[in-house]
Amino acid sequence: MRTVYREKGDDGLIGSDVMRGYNDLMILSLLMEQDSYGYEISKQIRQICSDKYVMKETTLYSAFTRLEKAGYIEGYFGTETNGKQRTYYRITPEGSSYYQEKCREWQLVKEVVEKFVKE
Amino acid sequence: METILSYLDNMFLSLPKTPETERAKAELAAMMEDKYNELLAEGKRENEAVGIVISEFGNLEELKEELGLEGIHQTETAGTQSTKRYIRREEAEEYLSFAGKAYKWIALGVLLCIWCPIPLFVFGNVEGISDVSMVFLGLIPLFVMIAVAVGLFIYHGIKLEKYEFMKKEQLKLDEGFLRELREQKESGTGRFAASIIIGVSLCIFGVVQFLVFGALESDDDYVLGMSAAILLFLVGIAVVCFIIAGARRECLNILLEEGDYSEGKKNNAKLIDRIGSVYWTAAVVIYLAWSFVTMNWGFTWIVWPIAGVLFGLVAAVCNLIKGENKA
Repeated sequence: MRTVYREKGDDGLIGSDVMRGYNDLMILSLLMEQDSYGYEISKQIRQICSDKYVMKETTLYSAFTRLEKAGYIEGYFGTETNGKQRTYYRITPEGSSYYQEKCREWQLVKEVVEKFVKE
Repeated sequence: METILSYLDNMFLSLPKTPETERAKAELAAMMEDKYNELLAEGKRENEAVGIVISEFGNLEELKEELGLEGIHQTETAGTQSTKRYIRREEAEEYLSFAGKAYKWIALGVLLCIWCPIPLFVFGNVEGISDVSMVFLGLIPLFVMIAVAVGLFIYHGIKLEKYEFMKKEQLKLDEGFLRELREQKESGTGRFAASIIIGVSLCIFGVVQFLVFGALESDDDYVLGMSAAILLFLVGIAVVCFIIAGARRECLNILLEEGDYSEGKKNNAKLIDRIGSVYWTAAVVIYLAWSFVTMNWGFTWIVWPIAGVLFGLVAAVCNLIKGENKA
C-alpha cells in the first residue's frame, strides 16, 4: 500500500515545506539528463528517493512555471511513441548554471546544519 | 478518471479564467491522468487509484502566486480589461513556418504580376509579327500569369486569415521564447538589410538601363521594348527580395509586438477600424447620393481623394487623443 503523504517528518517521509527550496534542484537535475514531462519527472523523483518524498502535482507545476518564467527551462510540445501529446521541458544554459549554484548552496546548508545535528 | 477531472474543476472554480489558469489546469489534468493510468496498470482498483491521485494533488494556494493571479485582478479592477491571449510556443512556431511559406507563394504571385507584360514587350515590337501570334505569345501568357497569381493570393490569403488575430489582439508568450525571438530578429537584421540593399540596387540598375536605352535608342521600339522587359524583370526580383525579407521581420514583429504591432498601436488600430467602418460607409452614401442627384458622375469622383486625405487626418487625430488620454 502506498504511504499517504504527511506534512510531518515523523514517519520517515519529508514534509513539503522542508523541501521547498530544493524542488527546483531536483527537477533541474533530472532535466540535465534528458528532456522530460510532468508525470515522468514526478515518478523519477519518487523512485530515486524510494518513496521518501513525493512531489505533489501543484508543487511540480508551480516549479515549472517559476523555472520557465526565469528562463531556466523551456516547455515545448512533444509526442510520445504512443501518440500522446505532452508539454516537455528542456533545460537552458541559464538553468544549468542555476543548478550548479543551487548545488553549491546545498553543500553549504548541509555543512552548517550538520554542525547542529546530534545523533 | 471523471472523478479526478471534476475534482480538478472544483478546485479551479475559485480562480478566474485566464490563459494561465487554463493551461495550468490542462497540465495538471495531464499529470493526474498519467499517474492514474499507471496506478491502474500496476493493478490498483479504480477508486483506490482516484484516492491516491487526489491525495497527492497538493493545493492551489501555492500555484496562485506563480500564475500571477494577483496582477490580473488588479488590471481588471483598473478597468483596462487587457486580457492577453496566450500563444504557446508550438502555435507561434507553426505560425512562423506557415507564414514563411505562405509569403513565399505570395511573393511568387507578385513576381508573376510584375513579369506578366514581359512577353508583350518582347514580342510586341518584333517586325512583322501577326496579331494571332501576338495573342499566343503575348496576351495568353499575360492572362495565365495573372490568373495563377490571383489564385495564389486568394488561397494563401485565406489560409493566413486564421492568424489575423495575432495582429490585433494583445499577445502573451513565454519569456524564454520571447528572448529567442528577439535574438532571431537581431541576427536576421543583417540579412534583412542585405536583401533591401540588393532589391534597391536592382531597381536602380533597372531604371538606369531603361533611361540610357531610352536616350540612346529612343527611335528603336524593339530595343525600348526589351529594355522595358529587363526593367520589369529586375523590379520583379527586387520586390520578391523585399517581400521575403520583410515578411520574416513582420512575423517576428507581430509575435514580439514591436513596430506597428506594439500594444498602443493595436488599441488604436481597433478604434480606427471602428471609425473607419462608419466613415467609409458614409463616404459611399454621400458619393452615390450626390452622383444620382446631380447626375454629374464626371465630377463626383472627387469624393474619394478628399475622403482619403480626410481619413488620414481623422486617424492622426485619433492617435493624438489616445496619446493624451494615456498621458
